[in-house]
Amino acid sequence: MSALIECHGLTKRYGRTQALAGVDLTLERGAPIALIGPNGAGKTTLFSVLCGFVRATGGHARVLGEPAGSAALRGRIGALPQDAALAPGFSVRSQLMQLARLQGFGRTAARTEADRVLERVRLAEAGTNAPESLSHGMRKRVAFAQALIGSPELILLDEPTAGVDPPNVRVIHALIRELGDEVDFLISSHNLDELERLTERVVTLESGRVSARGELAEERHGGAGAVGGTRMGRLTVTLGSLQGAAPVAEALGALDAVEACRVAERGDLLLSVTDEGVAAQAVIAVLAERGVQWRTIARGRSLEERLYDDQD
Amino acid sequence: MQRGRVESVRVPILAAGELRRFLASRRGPVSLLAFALFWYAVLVWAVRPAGLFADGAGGGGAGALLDRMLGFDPLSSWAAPQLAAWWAVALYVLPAVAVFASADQIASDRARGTLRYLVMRASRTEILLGRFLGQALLMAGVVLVTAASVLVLVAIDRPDALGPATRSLPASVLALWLTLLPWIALMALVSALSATPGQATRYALILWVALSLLSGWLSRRFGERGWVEHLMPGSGVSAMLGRGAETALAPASIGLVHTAVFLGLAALVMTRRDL
Repeated sequence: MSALIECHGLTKRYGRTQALAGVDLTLERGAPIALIGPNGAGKTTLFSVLCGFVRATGGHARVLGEPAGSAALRGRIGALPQDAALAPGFSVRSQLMQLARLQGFGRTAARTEADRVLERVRLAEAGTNAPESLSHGMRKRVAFAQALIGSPELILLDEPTAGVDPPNVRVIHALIRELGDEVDFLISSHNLDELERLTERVVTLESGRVSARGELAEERHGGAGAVGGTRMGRLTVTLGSLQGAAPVAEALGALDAVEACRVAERGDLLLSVTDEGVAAQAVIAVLAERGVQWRTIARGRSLEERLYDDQD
Repeated sequence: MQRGRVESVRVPILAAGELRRFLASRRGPVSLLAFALFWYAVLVWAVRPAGLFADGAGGGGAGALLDRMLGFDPLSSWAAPQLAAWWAVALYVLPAVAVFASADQIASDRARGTLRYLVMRASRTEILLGRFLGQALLMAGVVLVTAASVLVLVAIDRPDALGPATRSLPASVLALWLTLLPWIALMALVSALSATPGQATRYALILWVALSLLSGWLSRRFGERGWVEHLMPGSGVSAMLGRGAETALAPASIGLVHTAVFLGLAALVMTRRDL
C-alpha cells in the first residue's frame, strides 16, 4: 500500500520568502498525525501544497500515492482549510449538495449525502440556514461537514478549532475521535493540548523544514524516536493552585524515586523518575502529607513541555 | 498536476451553481430589479419615442435623415422601428451590464476561500468555464427579457408588424448575445487576476483603456485595416449597428474569437495562480 503522504525536497517560495525549504517526509497510514510548529514554520503552506491549493516551487509531494493536487485525489481526500467559508446568501444544504454533485453524486444522492454529513457534525437542523446566520463554531462544523462528503480516506484539518467556543470544540474533537478508525487525519494546530488528545504521531516544522517527528505514545513512555525524547521516565503533576509550587517541587525532588523535579513555565511540576509507578505513589503520599491539592498526575510530559520547555 | 483537465459533467453543475448563486443571494434580485427599472425607463423614454418618431416620419425622406443622424436607416433594415431602437440601445447598454454583472466570477470566492472547496472537487478550468457559462446564461436571460419587452412595445404601437418582428427577433437576440460573450470572458480573466469584485471592475476599466490606446496606436501605425479594429472586444458593434438582424451575425461572430482568447488567458491565470 502506498504511503499516506510523501514529500521529497519540497520547496515553496513566495517572492523573497522561503515558506518551505526542502521538506522530506514520509507518513504511513494509521493514527491521526499532528503537524506543529511556530507561526511561519510552513504548516499552512505544506497543507496547501498537499491539497493542491498552491504549486510547489521545487521537489514533489504525493498523497495516497498520487501527485498532490491531481484529479485522481478528488473524492479521496477532504480538507478543512483554515479560513475558508461557504458563500453567503444561500443555504448550507444547497452548497453542500453542489459540492457533492461535483464529486459525482446524482441529484437525489447529493441531497442524501449533504444531510448525512450535516447529521454527522450534529447540524442537521442548520441545513436551511445561510452560512452567515450561523455562529463561528457552527460554521467550522459546516466546513468540517464539507470535508466529509464522499467519505474520503484522508482529511487534512488546518486549525480546526481556532477561535471556536468550547461546546463546538467538544463536538469537533468528538468527531475526530469517532472517525479516527475510518479516516486518516493530518491536523495542523497551535493548540498542543488538543493535539495531544487527538493525535498519536507528531511532525514538527521549523523554518520550512521538518525538525522532528515521532510517536506521542513512545515518548510518553520514554521511547526512542520521540519528539525531543529521552529514555528517562516522566511524571507531570498539576497542582490545584499555582501558588506555592516551588516548595512542593523541592519536597518531591528529595524523594528517592525522583531524580529531579522542577516547576515548568505553565505551573506544572515536571519530574524525572526511574520508575513511574513507584514514583507516582510516593508523590501522592507526599502531597497528602503536606495537604497540597492536586488535579492530575500524568505519565510523561505534555507535548508543550517537550517542545518548548525541554531542559532535560 | 491536472489543474486544467475538463470533464463536461462538472461544467453545467458549476454553471447552475453560478446562476443559483446570483439569483439566491440578495445581490441578484436587487441587481435584476435595478436593471428592470432602468430598462423600463429606456423603453419609455428612449426606445418607444424613437420608434414612434421613425414611424411617424415614415416616407418623406425620413430614412435618409435618420441615416445621417444614426449612421443607419432603421426603417429599411427592421420589421419595426422599435426593434431598431432596441437594437441600437442594447448593443451599447448590455455590454456594460454584462461587465458589471460578471465582475465577480472568481474574485470573492477566492478571497473567502470558497474556491478551495471547489478545487478539491473540480479542475480550475472547469470552475472557470462553469462560472462563464452561468454568466452567459444569465445574460441570455437579460437579452431575452429586453427582446420580449420590445415585442410588447411593437404589439402596442405597431400591431401589424408583430409577426415579422417576432420572426426577425431570434437572429438579433443571438447576435446580441454573441457580442456580450467577450465581455463576460474578459471579466472572467480580470476576476481571476483580482482579489475582489471591485478590483475586477477597476482592472476591466484599465484593460479597456489600454486596449483602446493599443488599438489606436496600431491603427496609426498600420493604417485603417480590418484586423486592427477587430482586436478590441465589442469591435463588431459598430458594424452591427448598421445592419439588420439577419446580417448582424457575421460581425457578431468575431466576438467568439475574442471570447476564446480571453477564456484561454483566464484558464492560464487560474491554473497557475496560488489560492
